[in-house]
Amino acid sequence: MSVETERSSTASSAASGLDFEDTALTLRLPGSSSSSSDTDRKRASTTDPDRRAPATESPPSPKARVVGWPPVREFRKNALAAAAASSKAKFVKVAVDGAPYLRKVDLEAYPGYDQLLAALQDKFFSHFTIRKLRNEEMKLVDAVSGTEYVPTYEDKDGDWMLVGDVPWKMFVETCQRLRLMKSSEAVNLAPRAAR
Amino acid sequence: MGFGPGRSQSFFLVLAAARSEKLGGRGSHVQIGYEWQMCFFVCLLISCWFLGERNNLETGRKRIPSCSSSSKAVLGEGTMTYFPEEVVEHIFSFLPAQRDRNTVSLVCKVWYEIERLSRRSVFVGNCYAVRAERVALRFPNVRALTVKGKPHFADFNLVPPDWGGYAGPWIEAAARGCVGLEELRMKRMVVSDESLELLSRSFPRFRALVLISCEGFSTDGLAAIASHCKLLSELDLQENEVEDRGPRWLSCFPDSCTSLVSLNFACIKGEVNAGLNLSYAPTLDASDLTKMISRCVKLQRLWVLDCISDKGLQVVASSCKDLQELRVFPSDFYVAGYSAVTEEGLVAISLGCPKLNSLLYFCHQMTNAALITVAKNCPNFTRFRLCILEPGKPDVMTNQPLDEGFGAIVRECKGLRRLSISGLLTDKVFMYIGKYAKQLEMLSIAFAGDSDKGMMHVMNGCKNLRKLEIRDSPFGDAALLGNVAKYETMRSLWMSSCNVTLKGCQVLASKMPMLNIEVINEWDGCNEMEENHGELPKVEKLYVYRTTAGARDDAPNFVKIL
Repeated sequence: MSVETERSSTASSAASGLDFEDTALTLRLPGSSSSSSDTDRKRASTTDPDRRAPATESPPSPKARVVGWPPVREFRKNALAAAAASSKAKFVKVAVDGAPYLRKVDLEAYPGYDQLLAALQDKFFSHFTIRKLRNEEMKLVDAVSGTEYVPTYEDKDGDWMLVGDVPWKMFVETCQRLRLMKSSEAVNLAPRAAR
Repeated sequence: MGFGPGRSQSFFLVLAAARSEKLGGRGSHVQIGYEWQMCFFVCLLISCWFLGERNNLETGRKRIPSCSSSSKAVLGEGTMTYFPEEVVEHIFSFLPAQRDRNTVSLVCKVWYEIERLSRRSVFVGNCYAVRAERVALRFPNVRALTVKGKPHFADFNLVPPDWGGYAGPWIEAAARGCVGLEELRMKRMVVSDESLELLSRSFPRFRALVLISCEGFSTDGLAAIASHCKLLSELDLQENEVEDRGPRWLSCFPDSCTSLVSLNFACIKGEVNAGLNLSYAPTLDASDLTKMISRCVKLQRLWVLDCISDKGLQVVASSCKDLQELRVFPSDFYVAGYSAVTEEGLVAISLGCPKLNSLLYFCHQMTNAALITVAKNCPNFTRFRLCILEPGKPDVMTNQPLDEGFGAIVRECKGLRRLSISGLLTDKVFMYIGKYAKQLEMLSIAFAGDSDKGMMHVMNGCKNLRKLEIRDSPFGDAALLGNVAKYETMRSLWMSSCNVTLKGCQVLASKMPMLNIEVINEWDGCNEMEENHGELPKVEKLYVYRTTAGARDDAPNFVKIL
């Protein structure tokens, strides 16, 4: 999951504003760097045949990555994961500034931010690009109009936050609704806390 | 007057009958049989004495007729011809336990023959301990066969795929020699569709198939069973890896199929009164769950997830007074910190459920005090498995090892047959186990102990130990070789990520030729050498088992049998 941040951000700030290479990029999110999960894997046996961990944002503690521990049958682990995944659904309304209709998405259907944003892109716009800037913010840009949108969400406390700040699972739990806010308005939101 | 085979026969009969009365003891059938047996024994004893005397008078000296020679003369002279074979066979039918039947087989050849031809049920605890053909040849009239394959730790991905445990040879041997087979039970074995097809076509009276934690087959194999086993009454598939090729197999049961009584291929099984399995239901609201359980006052067996929480367990403790078995599974494997159940829930259960004898409990923390209390409250445990999710975690209150807590368990629970330990543990806990756990048959150890002494305590002290499985513990060659004769009395030993070296295994192999020493390394030996810089390479995984079959011929290339 490599991200060519520098080039794309420089390109995007150019007058043309478009960089189709960006559509090939996938996002890496704060707190979920693949390098940390690599070191976790090294601590476990190199013959780790167990399944990929569920795509949580919080890297599991090294102890939890020991092969065959805890001693629970794979069958049970899979069944639980499947049961948990299929039975819960969390639909939230998605509003896009300037669009006349609201849509709904099921947050439980996605394993992470990448997939959610890709789905938003599909649902709302035909020519969106997802861009990741130097300061790791996520933006969707309407290729046709050049308008930048920043995905935000309302949390359980009623505050509007930038999407991508917290681990995925926590986000799913706390998110009440989504709003793709125009960048120009998003300056009022609190800047992302340094990690 | 010697104590000849006549005497020994009657002696064994009395012994075996007494044992079976103790073991069986249910229902009037056995009672009648016992009285009947007593008549026979009295006659037998009298005739033994009589015939013994007669023999001596004839020859003028003590003569102990040898029953082991299979000549017709013996059959003519032996006391057992006083009773026709059918009668002896009938007496044997009161000995259902395999151990007893094995014992009577040893008395003399006549009994061996009668026993083997009348044996209805055979249990093979390790498929590599004996050759399938040999079992089929010895017991041609077997009706129920149970075979187990991979070692227990295979459940947790510690045994590489393609290690073995193939069902094929067993089904083939039975198809050739035991056509009266009615029931087949297999656990942790690799079963192919071809084998299921063969099974479905070879046994006209086949009625029950139970596969637990097996793999290697698809729904096509099940289709064959459904199509051809006309008398099928039980199909029980639990936790198998089945390749799903669609639901078509379900329609393969013929329309005229009226025999199927028990069909279980879901996770939930058991009646609500006897048992409740909620361990696959993570979304059940905790309060709904406890409301439901509080109404199940006759519940004997309960499997739940840890989201039931300590409060929920308190409800269980106050409602389910008949509870005998409790399993609490972890619902979130990778997140520490938030503990859904703790030592308090376990203590509550022990206070409220006096009949509890079987426990599997996953939790994030435990204390010695709690375990000591549990031990005092529930001395009837036969199975006690505690898994503290963080390896090597001490008593959460005192920061001490949990030696004393588990020590109390083995001291109070005199009937304990199965034990799994976890948390921070020193050699001391093994000292307690060796000293007190005299009925223990299976012990599971992970991340525990300080030195070879730990394992030695267990090997020397636990007289009834059959299965020992150890992972990530500092036991080495000295422990492995400390009591080599012990392995002959055990089914198997598993050691992974311990300190055993190849040399130690080789020494064991040379001392004990009746064992298979399987060294399982999943990567090249040369990698090992590099890492160890000239030290003796440590064996990654070791599986030792007694066998009459010699080294198996289906071992993959990463298994070396010494």
